Amino acid sequence: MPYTLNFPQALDFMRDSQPLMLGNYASIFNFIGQDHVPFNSGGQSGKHAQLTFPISPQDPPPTNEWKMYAKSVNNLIQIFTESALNTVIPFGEKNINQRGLVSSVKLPSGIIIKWLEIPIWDQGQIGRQVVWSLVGGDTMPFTTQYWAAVFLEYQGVNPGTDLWQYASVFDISDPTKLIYTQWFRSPTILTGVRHAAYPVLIVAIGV
Amino acid sequence: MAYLNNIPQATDQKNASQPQILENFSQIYNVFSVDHATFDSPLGQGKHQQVTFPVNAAAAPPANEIRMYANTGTTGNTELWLRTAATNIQITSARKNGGLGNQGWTMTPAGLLIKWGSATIANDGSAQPQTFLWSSTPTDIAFTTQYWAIVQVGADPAVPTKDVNAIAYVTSVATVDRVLYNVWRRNQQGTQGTNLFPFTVWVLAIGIP
Repeated sequence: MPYTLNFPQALDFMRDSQPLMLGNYASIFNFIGQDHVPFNSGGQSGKHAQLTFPISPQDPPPTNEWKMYAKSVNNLIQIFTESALNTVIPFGEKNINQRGLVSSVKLPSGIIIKWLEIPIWDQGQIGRQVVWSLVGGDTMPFTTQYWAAVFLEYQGVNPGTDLWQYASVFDISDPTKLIYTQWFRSPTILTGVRHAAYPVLIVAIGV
Repeated sequence: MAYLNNIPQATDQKNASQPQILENFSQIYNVFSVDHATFDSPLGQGKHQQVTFPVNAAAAPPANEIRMYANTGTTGNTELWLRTAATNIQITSARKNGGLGNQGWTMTPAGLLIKWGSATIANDGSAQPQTFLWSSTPTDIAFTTQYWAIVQVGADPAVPTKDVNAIAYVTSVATVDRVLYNVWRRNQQGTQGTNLFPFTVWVLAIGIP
């Protein structure tokens, strides 16, 4: 029986109002039973046992409050938060990929952490670039890049050739790319003879 | 009118109760229509179209439950908080800042605090360990325990061919307001670097506030 508004009216008979009241009390009971701790639960009534979010077709209008809701983006249903500053943030969006492709996670704070492992097949170089948007799978582009680090993955060293392997951040001022240096050095020659492919491990933080 | 939670009484006249009952049914409908899929909704009455958190005046008290609420965060903005049995976590808080010489941080829903920063130091490697101090402005969250950190020496764009093998090693994260590290520097000839120019260190740390 549906919930009935606008009753009882002053001229209604009790025999007419009674089934409507009965229906409304049942509706209220059923309503509270969804997601909430139900009536008569020892002081726990009204708390939320869980939250079920039907998919919202759009972001709610901005107010000076925090909101949480579900929305479908690219056929992926996600929880979103909307801050008092009207900033909409996916609540834990992630994009996890295999080696050679960039992976990212967006924290509830809006901070994006990216990581990437790419193979290197040549000798040292200054100004090597990772252009994020060109690295497959980068679905969360930075608008600002705050921090980054670059490491060479140990692959075994051939004594006398690549004694020192080194990579470091060069420039992160452009949010679309990461520029870094990489060097292989031997004790006797300036540039070592690359003994093997040295994968580069990259982690970056931004928004 | 407002919701009346104590009607009808046994001695109430029907003509007195009728407008009160009418009002209560209306109030119930209006209240439940906020945030919820309302009565008889095809979405499923009682489900949450969204959850809206007005700003709390105080942190939620400890309880053996998970609570979510809105309150002022460290940055001064209204943030979303989780109250676990043990602690309050500003899950949406961050200091969104970075780049050379700056620091930033973010909270995670797990309660972990991630900090990052960079600094320019002018040291030839003889003074060890080096100290990287975390910022302590009012908009920063301090570690109470610092679990882990890395330090990387950045390439010097101005002098890219000197001391190309400068490497930093973390030596201690025991003092929560700093990361201690050593710098090991070699030039292209494999001897102690002679580059006295300032160079950059990039620092990342994980802990709890």
